Amino acid sequence: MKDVPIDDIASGTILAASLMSEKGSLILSRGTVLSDSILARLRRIGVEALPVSVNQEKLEQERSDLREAIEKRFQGSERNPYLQELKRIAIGHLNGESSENPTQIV
Amino acid sequence: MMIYFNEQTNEKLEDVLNRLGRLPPLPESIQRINRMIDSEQTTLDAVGHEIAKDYALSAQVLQLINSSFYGFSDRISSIKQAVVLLGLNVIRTLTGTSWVSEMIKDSSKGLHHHSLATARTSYVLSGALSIGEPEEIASLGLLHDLGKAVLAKFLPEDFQQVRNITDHNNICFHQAELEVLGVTHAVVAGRLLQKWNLPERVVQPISHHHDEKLPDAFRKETALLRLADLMVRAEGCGYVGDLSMPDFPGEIAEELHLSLADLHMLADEAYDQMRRIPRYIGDRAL
Repeated sequence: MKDVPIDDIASGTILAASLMSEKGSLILSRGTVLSDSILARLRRIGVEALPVSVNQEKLEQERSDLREAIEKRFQGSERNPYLQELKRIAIGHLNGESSENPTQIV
Repeated sequence: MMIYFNEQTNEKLEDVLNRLGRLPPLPESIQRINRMIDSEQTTLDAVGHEIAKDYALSAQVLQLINSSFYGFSDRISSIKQAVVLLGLNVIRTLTGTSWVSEMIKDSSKGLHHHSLATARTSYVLSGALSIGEPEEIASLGLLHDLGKAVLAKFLPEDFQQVRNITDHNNICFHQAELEVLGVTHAVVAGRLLQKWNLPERVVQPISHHHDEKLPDAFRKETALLRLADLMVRAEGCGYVGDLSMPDFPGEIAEELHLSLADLHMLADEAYDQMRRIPRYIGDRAL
């Protein structure tokens, strides 16, 4: 289970944990199939990310593609310390390192 | 690659500008607001009132400033408040920006995404480095690639030729532009923004964001814009028409007094802003 940005969630994905409002009332229960209209409604009330089970294999493939793109982008910049630092930072972000987790649920 | 403002470059620029044909003038409503701001007798109230009269314009300006667009907390909720908090000069930039940025939005999703990400990153850098007013510095980021949108629309064949070069070579877009057109999108955008009466502190950094060296005027702003562009490209956020990083001369870090550790901290902060841009606007991956 992972909090995934709502714009990255395809319709048909299954909600991995129940969603409660700040006041404690149930908004959606675990196991709900997220349709386009549910996702749109959640966006409207300001939900930015949702806990869903992610397909590990697909995630790994995406990550390796992005990693390859970074290598390609920085080709030829090996001697520039600033560009090398930006490259390290981008790879870190790809691996999920970030100063802050922006996930907010209702 | 240095862009010399010699006669040959000027000739090529004039040629490109001529071929761009008749670009629309700044709308009358914005020109009227500019005239009011320039006149000595004007008051904050009067300008605020004039902007508020134009619903579409006031919505666009507020959207520019606030969360629905850049994604920041609702610092400013009314035009009146915006005028008071930001001052007339910044408001003048924002009315122009709101109109010009529509062209980028209509151009390509990838370019719009890159522009939004650069706007947010510029905003972050402006606050962290105390350079300019964040809302106005964000305009630099939003508009810096305007030239690409304009070339794509008005000179599609040349644009495609540039794309063919960048698709098959490890070369930056602006370098390929120099080969095909003899001028870069940066210089083209600068001239257009000048025509549309945006202030020099917006025009100059955009005009020079691909020069080899920082210009004499607006050095800090230009360095900031180049850094923002580099940070966004490093993350592969949006699409700019090429697959390689532009140079990052030490001069930029020196001008902004940045250590590698500062760079890391700022890049983390910028990245947190970039990932909040709704995905549907464009793809993160190239």
